[in-house]
Amino acid sequence: MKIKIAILIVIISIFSLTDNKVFAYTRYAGQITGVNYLPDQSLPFTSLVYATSSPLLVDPTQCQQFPSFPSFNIPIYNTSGNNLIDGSSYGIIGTTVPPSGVDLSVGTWYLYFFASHSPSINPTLCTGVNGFDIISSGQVQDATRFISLLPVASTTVATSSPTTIGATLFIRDEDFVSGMFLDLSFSNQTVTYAGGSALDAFSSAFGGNRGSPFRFPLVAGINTISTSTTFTTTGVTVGDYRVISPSFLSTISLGLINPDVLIASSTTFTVVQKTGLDIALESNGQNLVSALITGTTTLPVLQCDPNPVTFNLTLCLISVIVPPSPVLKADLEELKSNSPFGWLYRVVSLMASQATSTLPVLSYTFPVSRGPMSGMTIEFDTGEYMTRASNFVNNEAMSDVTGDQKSVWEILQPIVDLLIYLVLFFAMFHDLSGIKLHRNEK
Amino acid sequence: MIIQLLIRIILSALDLVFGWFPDFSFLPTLGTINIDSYFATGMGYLHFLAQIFPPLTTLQIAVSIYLGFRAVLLIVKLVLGSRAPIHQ
Repeated sequence: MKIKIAILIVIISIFSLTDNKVFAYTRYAGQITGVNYLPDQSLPFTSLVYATSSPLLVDPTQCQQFPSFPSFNIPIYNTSGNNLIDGSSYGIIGTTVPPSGVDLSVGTWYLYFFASHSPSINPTLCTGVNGFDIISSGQVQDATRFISLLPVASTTVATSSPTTIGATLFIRDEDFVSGMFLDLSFSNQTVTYAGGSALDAFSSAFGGNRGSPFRFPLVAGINTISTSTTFTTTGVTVGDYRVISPSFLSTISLGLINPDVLIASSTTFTVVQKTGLDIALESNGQNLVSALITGTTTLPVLQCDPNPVTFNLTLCLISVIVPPSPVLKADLEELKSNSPFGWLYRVVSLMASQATSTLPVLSYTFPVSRGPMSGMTIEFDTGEYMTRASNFVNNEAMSDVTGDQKSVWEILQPIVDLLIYLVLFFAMFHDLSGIKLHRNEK
Repeated sequence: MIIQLLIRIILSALDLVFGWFPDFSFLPTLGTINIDSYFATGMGYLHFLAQIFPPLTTLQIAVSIYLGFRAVLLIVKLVLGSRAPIHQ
């Protein structure tokens, strides 16, 4: 019996280690507000929708379950060109399927996102969703511009792993000329110059000179471009991104005349030295767990480099102990849907989900021909009663000792939390010490 | 590699026993009772109430911690048997 229980506990523990965004349903949705598009234009059904912030700005307190599964959707892509943003899929849904196009200026539209394989349950809708931009490649929505840059501004990149650099930009048909390219160059504020020092095959093919090691050909419309490089100089680094139109004068001037820069932007980030162990253990080990389960970090599979010059003992030891994440994930995937683990996994997924359901409305209809209320229906919306601004728990009716106006819960919650954790502590202490009342001491 | 080997041994044993069972992604439906839908809606209610009644979240965390603690105790007892320094 103990063995059975222990095996069950081990299985539950393995499942509990998983990131719930991988296995659990995490779905929110939202009525689109703040969308940047021209209201008199109709977007084709295949319009691209790009997120301008990640995660999208969703207020989860303004959510309710969608009445039926959407009949169509338009995926929202992130700056890397896929529709997974922060582990979730995003898209616009509608209740009707136009034959050839969608006019987003008419009707009510919704934004939803869910985990990777959970489209079979009705999504939850929220109001107040911002942070995305709708761009139609066939129509001019805005001026030629950069949509996003990589690395993201104010982020930190490490010298020990390749850094993804690139940009997503939109070029109007009217602005496009043949031979147009994106020029990326990087300079370090600590030293005089630091470029992408380890150029990959792409930069070797399209690389330029004079501090502009990255050049990418462009097309009209949306361009999503990225490659990787390894920065070796630490410190604050500035990336200059320029869309350059080749001109006849700049071509014959042997570099004496600057090329025509259509648009330019820059991003500032910090390059730091990190070891593989730092990367694995940062964020309180979340990256390590993520690497174990999802393989989403750059944790190595096996990094025992036989070359004595480049051999890294730390990475080698980590890779020996840490399982290769894709293999481990595949192992778990194989087993998790088998009965009864499929059900167990489903229960854990639902418990880990943060999706909410609106409380039902209680209603009663009086029987006909029975007094003055006959035929009338009375309703009691518990959700509305509890969430409205003037309810008991949110009402600013009390003051704490410092005189600050606070709600009831803001004052009581630390005390309630303390009591709960005290009970937890004594329960654990009781289990460890074995202190208990004898029968004759009751 | 080492941990993977151990985990794969456990998973292989489990797969040997349970691998031939059918796959299930959702909880079953008994007659007209869709347990999956009811459970999902029920958990949604709980999460909704947790937004209004904050101690529910703390309580959920505390219960999770305690269940994990009990799991560790069971494993220690299983491994060490009577030598386990646990008095239960």
